[in-house]
Amino acid sequence: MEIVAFEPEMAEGITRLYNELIEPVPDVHPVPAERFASVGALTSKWLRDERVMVALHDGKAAGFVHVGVARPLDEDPVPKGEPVAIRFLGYRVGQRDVGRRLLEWVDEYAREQKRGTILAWHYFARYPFYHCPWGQLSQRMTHVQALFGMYGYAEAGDSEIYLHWHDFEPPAAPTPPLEVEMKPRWSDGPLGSRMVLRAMQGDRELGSCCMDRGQTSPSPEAEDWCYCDSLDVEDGLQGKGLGKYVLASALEEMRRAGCKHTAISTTWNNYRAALFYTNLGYRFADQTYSFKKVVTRG
Amino acid sequence: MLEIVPFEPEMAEAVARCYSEVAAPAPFCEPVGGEWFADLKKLERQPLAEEQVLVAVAEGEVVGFAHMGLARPATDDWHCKGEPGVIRFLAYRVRERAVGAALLEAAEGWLRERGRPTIVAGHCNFMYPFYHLPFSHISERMAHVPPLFGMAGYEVEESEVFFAWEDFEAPEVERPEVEVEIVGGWQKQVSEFGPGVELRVLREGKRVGVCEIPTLGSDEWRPELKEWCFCTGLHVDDDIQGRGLGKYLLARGLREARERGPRHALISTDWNNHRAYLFYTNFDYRFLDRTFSFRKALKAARRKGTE
Repeated sequence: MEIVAFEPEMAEGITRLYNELIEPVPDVHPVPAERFASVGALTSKWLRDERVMVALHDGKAAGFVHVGVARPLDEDPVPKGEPVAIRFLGYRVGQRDVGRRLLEWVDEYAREQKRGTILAWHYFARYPFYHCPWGQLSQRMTHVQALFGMYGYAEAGDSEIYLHWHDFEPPAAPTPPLEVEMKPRWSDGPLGSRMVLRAMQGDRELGSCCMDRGQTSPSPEAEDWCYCDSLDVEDGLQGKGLGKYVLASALEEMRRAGCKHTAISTTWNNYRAALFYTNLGYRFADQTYSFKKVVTRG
Repeated sequence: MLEIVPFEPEMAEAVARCYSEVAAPAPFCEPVGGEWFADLKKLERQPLAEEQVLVAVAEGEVVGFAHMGLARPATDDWHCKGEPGVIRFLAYRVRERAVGAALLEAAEGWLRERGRPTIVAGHCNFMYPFYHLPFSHISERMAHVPPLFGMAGYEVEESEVFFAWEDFEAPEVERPEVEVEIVGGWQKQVSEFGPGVELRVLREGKRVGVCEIPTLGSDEWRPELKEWCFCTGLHVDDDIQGRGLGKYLLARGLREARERGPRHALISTDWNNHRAYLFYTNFDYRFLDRTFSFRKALKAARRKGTE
């Protein structure tokens, strides 16, 4: 087995491997080989010195890792400290040595870049076609998760849970706790189209909900889905039912537009949000994790 | 109007319906009948000193219940230590969050009155015999229940992860060169479960390893599990680990189980056991579910006359 830099002729093999790995993951669909045709096509504006390394076994791609270094940007969601980021690491089940060799290569890369921290699968470096926005390593890719645990990585502590609501029926929007006017605005969005619903009191925005229609990866059902990217209520107005009103109204708007299924996510320990969403009708779909490792720079 | 009242036998059917509805999204949680709740003795796992089921009733309808108990002193390795107060199960209907909160408060009150400052909730030792799988705590798929505990100040205590392998085909694994004797095979009963494979590894007559793969269901008992076997025990002593004996035992155990009927296989491990994850996924087990138990230290009730 050898670890070599990605070449365009490896795109087919890498794509096959990627599609195999994401097969059990909800919300993630196979992609065509053009997606991996060049590293340039996948470059993130938040990373520098990106590299894709491929583990070749008998001339075939048995695993690959995509890394970069976070740019020193004071911009959400870029992490501080310019860590090395593992955007994706995949290898076939049963080939742990492939995974180990790729992680060893990442350690070397971190030393070469003089970085002390490696952040794996953090959402800021997510492939745009992988999982939902904020998606990290799915618990369904268990063997990859285990590899990180075995080789010195710890959970980074910002695990995200995903909730689905198939054939959703918007809850009867409760009477708004305040006199508000709901103002929807449709535009192009990262997944297809985007609807932002604002709860306005005069010129003052008291809350908003952003719904993205579509999915991150191609699927015949993509148009049936909408993902709630954000739900905000002004601090002093929380706990009064405005959030429920805004979300229920946004779901109604999406239903009218033809969406059948909806998804939402929150951090694992945001019990308030999880309780709110699950009591509206959302059901558990997936949990995702990112990992962190401190490397010696010697 | 919501009322929290002690369980009465005539509520058994409605409580069973409520359980069935709440547990339904979790794997292997089929609906159950009221007969299970009519006699709490039927539900016994780790022994409890006293039990109570509190039922939430709204407009004459059961909308949730909490089942509590007081753990006896541990008498077995697998028992929870420290005689905690126990919430065996808490069920409330989706969209009835206030019911869940009221039940949890009432359950804590019942345990506090009985002087149990620590509460263990949803732990597998106290789960119902018809719930999920052995070693299972509260399933993450019962998604509206875990955050209720989180909001009330509970912390995750244990987490067990389950893996399934449908239509399994166990690999042929060569027996490693370790000077041990391996005895056993298909047994009429394995541990407290059904028939299955039990392999024992012996060195100079002393047991140094084991592999237990019982079946869990039959036509009469949990038919949904009839075609499944579950590796409930796989152990090799420290000094002979790392030589492939575990892999050999599991492969051999699974092959012997398959010859007797079960088509599908299950296994579980602690959330932090990454080595086991790799081991199982290398066989071809796939992630099925993650479950959690919770723990909370209750604040002591303030006594009259004290600040």
